[in-house]
Amino acid sequence: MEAMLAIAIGLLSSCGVYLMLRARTFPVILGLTLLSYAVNLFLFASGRLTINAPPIISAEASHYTDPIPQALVLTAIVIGFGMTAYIVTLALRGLSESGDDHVDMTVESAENDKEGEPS
Amino acid sequence: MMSFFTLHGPILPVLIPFVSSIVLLLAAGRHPAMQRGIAAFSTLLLLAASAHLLRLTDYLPPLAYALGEWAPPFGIVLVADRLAALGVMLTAILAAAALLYASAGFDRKGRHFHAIFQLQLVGINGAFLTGDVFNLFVFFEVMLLASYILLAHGGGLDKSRSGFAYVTLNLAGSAVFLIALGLIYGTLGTLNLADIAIQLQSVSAGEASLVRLAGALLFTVFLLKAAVLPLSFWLPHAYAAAGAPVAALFAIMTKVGIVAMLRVEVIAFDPAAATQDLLGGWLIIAALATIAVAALGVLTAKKLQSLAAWLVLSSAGVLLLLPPLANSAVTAAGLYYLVQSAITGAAIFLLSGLIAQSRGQTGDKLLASATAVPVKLKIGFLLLAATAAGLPPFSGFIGKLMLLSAVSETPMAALIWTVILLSGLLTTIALAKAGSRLFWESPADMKTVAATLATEATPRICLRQTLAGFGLIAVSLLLLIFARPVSDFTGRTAAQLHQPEHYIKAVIPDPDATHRVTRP
Repeated sequence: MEAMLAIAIGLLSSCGVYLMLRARTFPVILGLTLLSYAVNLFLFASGRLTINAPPIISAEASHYTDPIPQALVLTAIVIGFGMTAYIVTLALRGLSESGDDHVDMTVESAENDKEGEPS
Repeated sequence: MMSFFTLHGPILPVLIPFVSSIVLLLAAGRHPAMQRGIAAFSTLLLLAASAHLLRLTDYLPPLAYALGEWAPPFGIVLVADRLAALGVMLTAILAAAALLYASAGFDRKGRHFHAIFQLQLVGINGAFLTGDVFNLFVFFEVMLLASYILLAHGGGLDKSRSGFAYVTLNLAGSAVFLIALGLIYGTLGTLNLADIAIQLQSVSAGEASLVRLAGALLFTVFLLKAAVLPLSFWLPHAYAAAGAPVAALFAIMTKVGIVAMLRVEVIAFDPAAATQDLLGGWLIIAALATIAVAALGVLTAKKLQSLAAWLVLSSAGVLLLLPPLANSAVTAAGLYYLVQSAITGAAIFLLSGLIAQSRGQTGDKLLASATAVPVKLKIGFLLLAATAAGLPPFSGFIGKLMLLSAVSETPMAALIWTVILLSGLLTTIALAKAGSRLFWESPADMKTVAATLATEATPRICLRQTLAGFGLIAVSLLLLIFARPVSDFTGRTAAQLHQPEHYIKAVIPDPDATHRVTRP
């Protein structure tokens, strides 16, 4: 199970990094999402992998799983979700303003540069 | 028996803006005057709470505030020491000036400006006050999320473009941050900073390399926020694109990264044998390279606001010398420099907004303009330029002097002196050039001047904007007049920071009493 989880984290983060290095906004956002999945899995594993054990005190339980990484992952998921929603909006706004989904939003930026703004 | 305000002092700077941001969200879109009133009231309360905290921490040991009485290391803990109080006070001053400036009309460009502004303060104050690294992550995210929205406030392609890069970079940074936290929790079993310091003392040889990796990743994220050279290319674009009051508040954000880094290094990582040599000469070189590149950036900037952004980067480079040197005298001088550079940086952003407004269409571009700039703005620019360049007798000079004499004992003193002094010279030249372009040069073609003057309405500058800009200039002059008491305080702050046992004892009085379960 450890090997499977490690492979999954590695695969997700390598795909995420590859997509993040693309020049269009949509793949970049997908890459960020994949990377955050990888990170969430990694955080989950930081409390060690325990099977069939409850995270909170119970009378029947013989052993427990660490509840803190679960709380951390929950926080990270919520934050990541909000961030993704915002960056999608920002990308859409850039698309509607420049008519291009390149990450540099280049179509009109060339004109801006002529006016003296360093790019 | 401690009084209510002493007991709850550490959480007030987080709670006040948080409550007012919720109230402001409910009042969104209605009664702009009421929104401004609530925001102003909240910021005044924040100023009072910060001043109170500053006074408390000056004569008390670090105050640990366990939320919900969950004893550390298990619960969430806020710790108010002198460093945190200094950061919170500085934030409150900048926030008051930025808010005053924004309430002249900038806040009307979007519905939620005031609510997001208060959330930004929650994030910054929380990052200064928090006592565990996971909440540091959470407060960083609150701060960044609010800053993304404030950066885009007002609209325009320039803001979307620099905003997208800024958000992407910081999201990637957050991923690295979380991996570091996972590694720390996986090896040390705790995320409380004081507890990390205790656990690091007895880390096994097998786990030492993992802890070092975690520390390196953590410092990488802090360096991204603090904008050290290879990770700094986002800063000039983002800060130059933001609206003037937003950029003024952003002047504190690189400082948050530096303070977080300093705290983690001095309290947890430096005293432990396994992680002692994580920050070293390489960071000094990187910081000096940041200063050098920023000086070139100041020289080549084509707009006053991007010039100010490069100045922020330059001061961030100077402050990045503090964590690797980790020495009480250097930290004391560096904290004075931090305070004065944040105030001066913010004031230049506000003043560049004012100058842009008074020059009509030419804006803050460093070109000749048909409309003349009012004399008061010229005087303000002169004072700020002299402070930023570190010319005597202004507070920038005192800050640099103290820092240079403090580093003279360290092995790389000659290199540090050369780079800082040369960058001061280049900054002086650049600011003199910018000032003469902005104020004295007139356009070659007099016909266009007449045409522009005929068509353009006389620009109006609101009294509030002038007050905000000159208020910050006054604070910068006060830092000069009261240089002695302020530098005494930063000296006491540094002395407290460099005795981490006080911090640890305040959070966890008796480490042996904590019951721990050994993990597989």
